[in-house]
Amino acid sequence: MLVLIGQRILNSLLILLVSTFVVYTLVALAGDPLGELRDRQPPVPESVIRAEEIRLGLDQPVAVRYATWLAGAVGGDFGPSVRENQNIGRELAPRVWVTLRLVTTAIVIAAVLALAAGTVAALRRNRPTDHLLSTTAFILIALPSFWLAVLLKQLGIAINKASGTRVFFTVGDVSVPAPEGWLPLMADMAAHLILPTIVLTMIHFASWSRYQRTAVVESLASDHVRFAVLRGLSRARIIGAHVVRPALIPIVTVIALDLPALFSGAIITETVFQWRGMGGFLLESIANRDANAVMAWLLVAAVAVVFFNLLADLLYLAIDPRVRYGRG
Amino acid sequence: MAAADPKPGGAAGRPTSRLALALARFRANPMAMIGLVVLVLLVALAALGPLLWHYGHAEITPDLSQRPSLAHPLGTDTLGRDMLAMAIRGLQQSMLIAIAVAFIAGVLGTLLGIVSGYFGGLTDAALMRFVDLVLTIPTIALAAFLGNALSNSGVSWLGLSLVLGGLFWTSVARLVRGVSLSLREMPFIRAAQVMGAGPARIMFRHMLPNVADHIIVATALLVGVAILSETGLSFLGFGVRPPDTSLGILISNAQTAVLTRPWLFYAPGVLIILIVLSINYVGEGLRDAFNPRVLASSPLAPGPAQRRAGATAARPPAAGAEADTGAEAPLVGLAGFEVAFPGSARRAVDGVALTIARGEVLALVGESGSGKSLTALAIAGLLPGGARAGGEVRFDGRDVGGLGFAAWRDLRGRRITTILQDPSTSLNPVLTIGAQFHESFAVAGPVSPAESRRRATELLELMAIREAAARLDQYPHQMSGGIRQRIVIALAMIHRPDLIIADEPTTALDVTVQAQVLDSLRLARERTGAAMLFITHDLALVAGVADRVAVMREGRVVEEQPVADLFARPRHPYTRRLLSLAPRLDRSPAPAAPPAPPAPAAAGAPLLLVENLSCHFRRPRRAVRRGADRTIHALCGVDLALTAGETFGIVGESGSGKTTLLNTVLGLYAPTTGRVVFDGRDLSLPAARRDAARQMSVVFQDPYSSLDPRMTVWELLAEPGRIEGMATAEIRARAARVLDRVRLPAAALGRFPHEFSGGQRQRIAIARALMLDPRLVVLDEPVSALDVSIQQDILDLLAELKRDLGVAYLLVAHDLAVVAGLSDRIGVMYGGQMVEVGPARQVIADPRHPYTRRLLDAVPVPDPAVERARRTGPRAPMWPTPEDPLPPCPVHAHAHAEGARP
Repeated sequence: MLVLIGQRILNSLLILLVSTFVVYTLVALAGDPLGELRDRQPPVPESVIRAEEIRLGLDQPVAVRYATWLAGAVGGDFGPSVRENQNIGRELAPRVWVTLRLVTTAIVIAAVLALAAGTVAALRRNRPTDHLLSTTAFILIALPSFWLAVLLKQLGIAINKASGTRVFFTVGDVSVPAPEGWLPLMADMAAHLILPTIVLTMIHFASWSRYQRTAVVESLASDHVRFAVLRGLSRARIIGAHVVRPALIPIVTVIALDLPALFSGAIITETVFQWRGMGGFLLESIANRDANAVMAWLLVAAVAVVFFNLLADLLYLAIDPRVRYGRG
Repeated sequence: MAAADPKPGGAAGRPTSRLALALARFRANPMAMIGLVVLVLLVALAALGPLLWHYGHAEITPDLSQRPSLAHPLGTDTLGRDMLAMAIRGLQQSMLIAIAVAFIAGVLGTLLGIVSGYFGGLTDAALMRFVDLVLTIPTIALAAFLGNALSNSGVSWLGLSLVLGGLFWTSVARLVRGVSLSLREMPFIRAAQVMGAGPARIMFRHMLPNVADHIIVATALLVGVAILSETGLSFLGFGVRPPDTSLGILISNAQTAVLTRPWLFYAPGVLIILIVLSINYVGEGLRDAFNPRVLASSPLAPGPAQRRAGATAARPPAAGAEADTGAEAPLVGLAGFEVAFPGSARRAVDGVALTIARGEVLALVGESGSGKSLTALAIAGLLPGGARAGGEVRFDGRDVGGLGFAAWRDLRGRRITTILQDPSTSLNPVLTIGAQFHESFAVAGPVSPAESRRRATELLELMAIREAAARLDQYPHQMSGGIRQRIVIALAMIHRPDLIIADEPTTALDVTVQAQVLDSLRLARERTGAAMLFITHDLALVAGVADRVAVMREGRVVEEQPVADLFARPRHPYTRRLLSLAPRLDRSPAPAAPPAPPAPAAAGAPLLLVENLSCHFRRPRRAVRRGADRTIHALCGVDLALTAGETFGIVGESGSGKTTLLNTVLGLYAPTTGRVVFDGRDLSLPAARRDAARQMSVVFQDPYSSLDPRMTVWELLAEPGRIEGMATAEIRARAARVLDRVRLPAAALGRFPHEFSGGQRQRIAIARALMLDPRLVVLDEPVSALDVSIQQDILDLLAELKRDLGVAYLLVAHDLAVVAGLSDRIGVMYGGQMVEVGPARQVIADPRHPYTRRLLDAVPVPDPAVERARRTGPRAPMWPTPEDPLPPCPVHAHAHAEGARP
């Protein structure tokens, strides 16, 4: 058991290592961080560009740069930014917390909703409840997240205006200035979370609920459910232990696979709601062609994804004895 | 005569191809059709819009911020640009990019997926790690960066498509790889490998057509995903750049105008939603059309038995139902019982009347499709969805036709228990055995865990399961099929039921295990005093089990008699035929077998020589306890020699190594040690293997999976010749000849395998095996997937071909009777070793090895008197035993074959 977990962790680290190298190379080859400097009018002196190249380490081969970057990144130093006075690590750290707050809340709510909606739709397959849930899911899947985000934001503003009070927070992840005290701060953050979480949750819960529906429909048709019915078990017991429990295995995979998409969705949602999260940081860095900053962002996202995948693996161990004890 | 028109499509009016069937299913799906129409309209708008609409997308009109009007159907923006023109342009851009992305990702994903799936092993592991890697990256982030970096002045649509396509191929690759991996194990791919087809031929002629429908669906759905990504990127400012426009940019521009100029915001949004929605409905429609999932309906839903057909409600009670109110009322009474499925002309069950008295064993015998299982399921109230039941089903005097779920619970599990066919699927894989016992005990009221454990242990011990208490903490996948089925029987005994329904309880099991399970079943019945309904296709099995036998055919009971009378004096011709087909190994051995051809053994070197062949596999590390031996001795020092024209039959149970032996001879596995010599040449040499492919062919077990479903019979028959580079005219002549030999009409050439019955398909497979006039045909369980009445036809055909063509057979089967009927010599395998070899007559009549004796003893005899006498007498002793174990397999120092399990 512990060996298995250890193996998974080792595997994850390996994936991280290779993935960062590939992405680093890609990012390094794709763009010239000094492009903007070079294009500047009037032209910047060659010596300045040269000095900037040395500061950013552009004169070195990619492999060396990666090694330096990796060594730094492990210690929390993500290398020099294009913007001279910016420390990437210090800038990014608080934003990671902001984004993780959004993403984690959305995952939990979306997963619970998807489980419930998918299971209900499957149990009432081809009946009005199912048709309603399935059609809703189809429409939600087709909704562009940014469109929904803008719509909800403007709706929030309209409601605020109409009621004359602030019902919804539509800008930022926390009030400025932030409220004093632990409890009011939490409450304030939670209030800011409402609209963005709805956006992120709606988009993902829809597609997950479709997978859950399929899984439960298949589970319902399996022999062991028939056998459970023939053994005279109660409806609740059959649904809980024999239908839904085995159907949890596929949904865990689907959610784990969808995490990068969730991060993509978070970028958009944060942008619309003007959060100071990872999304804004990424967009700024891209606009500045700040390779190290983008790399730092991708590293954080990759670590998060790998971490959640590890969590999914552990969940398998809990749910599926066949994984725990091996087959045959 | 034949070969006049070997091209597909030659025959008119035949059942349509799979594609036509899929299209018909698609057309019948209203949502998919609506989606398709909307999609076509949107594409037409994007393609033709600019030609028809008089404003350009960048054109500035004097009308600023206009509401939608006739001049500007979607209004104008603050600069006076016409929204409809911009929306059309956006639509164009989005669709162009999305289609390009789907195309790039589709091609890339298909290639990598097929390669990964075909080669498997290391290639697959490496490619899948690469996929994992790409999957850790949030696409939008990398796409934005690359898109931004690739060009200073905005990105061309092609550049954006390349970037997105390069990130989206993973979903297609995973899907294609998954399907390819399972295809790789399909007999039709193995058949192509045995014919000597190369990787390219297998990947593109066999795998690609069989994953094509999955690719189409995945790619279609990808178009929707790509549109959402592209518009999202453009919204953020990293996709399409102004002055050009895209639906994403339009929404971005309208962000603050939602309340003041809503038309600017809603028009592009609704367009995106419409496209993606219609694509998704079309995609889902295609998926359902290509792979119609016929899922059994939920057993929790109100069953069809409850919803009686109106016509049958008025039916007068069956004669005798009223009279039977005496003390001797039967436990189960069926009268005029029928089941029909909508869309099927013939009733699946057509007026069955049966009774089962208390404590009686009634056997219901029939081939597949006879309606025997439906009849049994109706007694437990569990007919499949869509079925319409009529007539009367009484249990203990009570009409159970209209019972609801709650009422059924009083009967199921307590008074009626059921044992299903496949023990590997009837237990819940994620609950321990103990938990499944506990919930069954709890059906009759609360029980303490300790109490249920104690009683479960008792029951398992009664079922002769060793270490019963430890078993309770294990999961089903940790035990063998025989133990699982005995656990199922123990579960059925819990509440001392009045009726046990056993639905083919031993069909999925080996013959020696079958004997044990039948003993357990007998014990269970004696202990509980229950009546039993025993359902089987195997008439021989019934002799030792049943008191009375009912024979079903095509939904009707054709004959019902006490067991002794039925075997002694069968009345219906169908019963007589079934009885004549039931093998009698206990009498003179293989009387049906034609006199063996004059042994040509003396004539020289054997045709096939297997010398000291061993094949070891290593278990994956995580599947075994630490420190345990990971080697599986699938084959262990096997020798055999086969002369030309001879039939060598190999018999063994699952895990005996017979399939590994056969696959090694066919070149599908590499031996660990030893060699296979064909016609004097060692087949480990590639050149010898290539030459041998021409003279050696194979017929696999399952004719449904050994023929590529996407090929016509003509293409199937032509393939061996094509691989050998034969001229088409020659192939045509040969195809006509072999079809004639297996007695199929020449018109069959234009048809697809799915248009034939199981027996006909096996004839096609045999015809294919004969195409190159082989000297050796390897027969891998050639009849075990077929109904009894068809089995004999195929065996007769094989015997005839052997006589006429003088081919040698290497026959593998689990069924002694099949091997005995066809073979000149028999080899008995156990645990990877050949434990006994001898002439067929000797092995059957005078077995030397204890295992052979045990195997023969386990085969049921279709004679009630003999069978019952045998069952009450002592069984053949177990083998292997701790005192007389299977000889250990010497592991050679150079045993390597790491990796793939069989």
